[in-house]
Amino acid sequence: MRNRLRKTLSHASPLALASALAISAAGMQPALANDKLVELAKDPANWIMTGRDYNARNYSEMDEINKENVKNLHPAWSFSTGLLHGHEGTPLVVDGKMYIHTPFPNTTFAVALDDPGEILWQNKPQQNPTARTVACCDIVNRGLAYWPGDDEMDPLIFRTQLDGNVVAMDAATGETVWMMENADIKVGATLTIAPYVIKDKVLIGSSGAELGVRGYVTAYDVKTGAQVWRAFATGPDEEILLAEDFNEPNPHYGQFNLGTETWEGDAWKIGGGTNWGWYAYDPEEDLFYYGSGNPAPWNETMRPGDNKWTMAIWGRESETGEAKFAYQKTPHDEWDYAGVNVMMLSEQEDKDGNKRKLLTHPDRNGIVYTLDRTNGDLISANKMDDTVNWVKEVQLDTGLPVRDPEFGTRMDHKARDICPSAMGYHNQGHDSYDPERELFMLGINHICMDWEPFMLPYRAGQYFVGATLNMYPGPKGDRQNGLGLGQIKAYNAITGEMAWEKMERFSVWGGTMATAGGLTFYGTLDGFIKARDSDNGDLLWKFKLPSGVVGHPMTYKHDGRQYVAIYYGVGGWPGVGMVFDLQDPTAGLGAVGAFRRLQDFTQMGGGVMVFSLDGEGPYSDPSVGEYPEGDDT
Amino acid sequence: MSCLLIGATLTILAPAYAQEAEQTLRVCTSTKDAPYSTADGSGFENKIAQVIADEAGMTLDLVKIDKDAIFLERDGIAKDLCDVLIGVDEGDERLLTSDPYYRSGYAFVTREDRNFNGDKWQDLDQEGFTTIAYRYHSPAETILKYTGRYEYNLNYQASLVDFEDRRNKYTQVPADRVVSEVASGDADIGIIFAPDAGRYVRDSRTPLKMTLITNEIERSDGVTIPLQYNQSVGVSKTKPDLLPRINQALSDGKDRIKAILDEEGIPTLPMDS
Repeated sequence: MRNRLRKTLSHASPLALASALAISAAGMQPALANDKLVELAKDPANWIMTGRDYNARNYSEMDEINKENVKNLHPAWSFSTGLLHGHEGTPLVVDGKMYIHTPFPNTTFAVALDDPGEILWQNKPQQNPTARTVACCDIVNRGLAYWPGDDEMDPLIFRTQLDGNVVAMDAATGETVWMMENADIKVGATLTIAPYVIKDKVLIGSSGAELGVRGYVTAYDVKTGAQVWRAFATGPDEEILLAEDFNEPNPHYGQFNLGTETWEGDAWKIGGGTNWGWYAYDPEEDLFYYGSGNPAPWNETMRPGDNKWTMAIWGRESETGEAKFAYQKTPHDEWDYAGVNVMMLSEQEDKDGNKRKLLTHPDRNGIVYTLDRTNGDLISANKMDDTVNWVKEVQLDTGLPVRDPEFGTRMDHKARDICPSAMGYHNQGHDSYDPERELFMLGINHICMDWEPFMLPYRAGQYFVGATLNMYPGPKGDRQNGLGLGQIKAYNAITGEMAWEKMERFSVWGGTMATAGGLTFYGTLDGFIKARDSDNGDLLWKFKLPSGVVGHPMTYKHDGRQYVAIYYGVGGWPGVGMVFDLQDPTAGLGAVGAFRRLQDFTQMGGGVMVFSLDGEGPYSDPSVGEYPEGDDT
Repeated sequence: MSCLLIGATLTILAPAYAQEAEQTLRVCTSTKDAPYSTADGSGFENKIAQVIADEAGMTLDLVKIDKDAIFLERDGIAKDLCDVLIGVDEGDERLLTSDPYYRSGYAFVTREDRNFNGDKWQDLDQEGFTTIAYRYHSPAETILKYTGRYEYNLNYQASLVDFEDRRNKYTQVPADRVVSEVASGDADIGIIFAPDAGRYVRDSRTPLKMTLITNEIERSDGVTIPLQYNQSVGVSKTKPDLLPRINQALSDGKDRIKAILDEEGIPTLPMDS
């Protein structure tokens, strides 16, 4: 019989938590959950974390579905979450079950892949409804995390809630094991990020930079919810948790005391730098990677300085949280290029033929950065599209962007056609890496903006500084008709070349998935799931979903058959106009205007759609899930 | 344009309106700027507008704009919907400004039973006065920053606007909220431009004390931020002929205006102080 700690710990007192910590620290050998997760990820049947495995590649070795037969892909089953609003992220599959998350109110569902017509369990939290008003850009959530269990505890599913709580649920029953407040909705902090399990810790980011939240990442004990460490993005080094040799290989990135010195006065205390994107992890280096977001307040004139360490790529040790390196991509951000996007790990030969462990990050600012993930060396930094214009180039030796002042947002200047827009050429989409082709499959926004700053005085020395933002398709789109807002591209991080690229009607907001079948899958805002040939980008298959897509596809195997699954449910930042019924084109920082045509193509919805070859699946045998016959006596 | 409620004229317009526009005093007024101006015309600047129109022998046309008052110049005067704003700082560069008709300043508002003492902005820094209500985008923010209170108070302050996202959006705490927070004891102290608070302090059931701040802020970059301001009538630069008429009306209606300010409970300062 397994010892179920949940009974005593679900509403744990500080004392109980402290003693539980003491036991795990002193008494027992820590279970190597990460080894189990690595093992589970080797089986292509599973999809155990948002990026499939620790490399965050969204890549599957499966090739049952391939270029030749993808045209025969048909729906096998589907599931409605019962909720509208943006469905970001992807479901998890492990051990014959699919775990499904939803936007606020963040209900979690489990279904058996044998017969998904019956819900195994659902866990619907009661949340403070003010969370809805605090969230800036729709009420999305980006996914779940799975901890595989050990000798003393059964496997757990973790979720974050918009009201700032983290919840551990029994993976078998859905029962809440513990709940911990990571961020206080009363101070404007929310949570939308997917939790991330490393060994016996679960990592949680933070949201709400606009409301003066100082960003942090926190590690909790998976079993008790006790906080193990917390690392801030700004402030004194001991609170940012910098290792003694922080940035030693690249001192020009900056090293110590910069979390306070690059701010005016105490502004770092409300400096933003939250992280609500994605994590990746290298078990050999014991380093995990993520990006910190934009500085606060939003208006750059209010916060002179580089504003470190917002907008940075981080490499931190999972045990201690200590940072080995940080590279700030956009010092003193002027455009809201929040740097939280996905980090994908690969092993490739650099230009000199040396095999290196790499990290590739398509940033909101329109640059794809590739770093040596062992030490932070900058390997390449290329424009995602040649229309990026706020920066002329990123100097590889200094790491600094060379700005074009024409496209800055300073107060005395009306900037026209800044590319990318505040939404970035790449936003929260979780992209993929095909190791066979050594290509990153990038889903891209092709959106630019006008930025007209204004200052309005009012009586008694009051004044308001703001900007009017208008967003519209980039130069390659159809500005007349408000379409051509997206691209899909295959990027080689070593050569900097695009193997192929295609335009899309709308942004490829949710990300991509690559498979050994030579296919790149992704969803579109107007509600298609598409498959392209990974070698040349040719469109091989598509299917119209009930609503637009802001999540990324996944694939799993069950009963020897490969399936492809994707969330539908339009929303998120590009959908704010639709989900909140906004009319002013400059609302949503201009998103309402940019996506004005979206409503002509799709409406709100919410669910999961699952595909297989010929639609074969659990209900190919129609007796599955039926009321038993002859049982009426 | 759908948000503009134009032509809520208080007096019946004479048929001669179209021919003799200068006989109409077109005043832009916000529906969301209590206690200065309100949708029902009960703001004290609505009353002052009537005094000016009367004294100048003009017909008052209150052009009500359903936006915060900070937008009145950009979305009213500059769009030729009106010619006059009743309350602006003397010397506002976007407008011609009249002779100032009163002077007031930022003030501390506390409960009488809290025994707050001090009339310098630095006096905010005293024990027991840690939760501070104020209005965004005002020199009160500078006072908090320069007394080291801003960051600690930020969450409380954001709660006054229900944590509404301030990113690129004009978000403001209603003036009466600053006063009611102090009265209820949720805030230890309020910092507010005294005319914002006059009637609410006057009407508070909990006795409140309003202390005008007497000094200015010397910012670290050498810029001086005044905490006392002369208030003038602002006139569109396209209507210079209107300015002397308004100056004359302000002079002729001086006593009536003073009565309105006194009734409002606004502490005023000598004009040259």
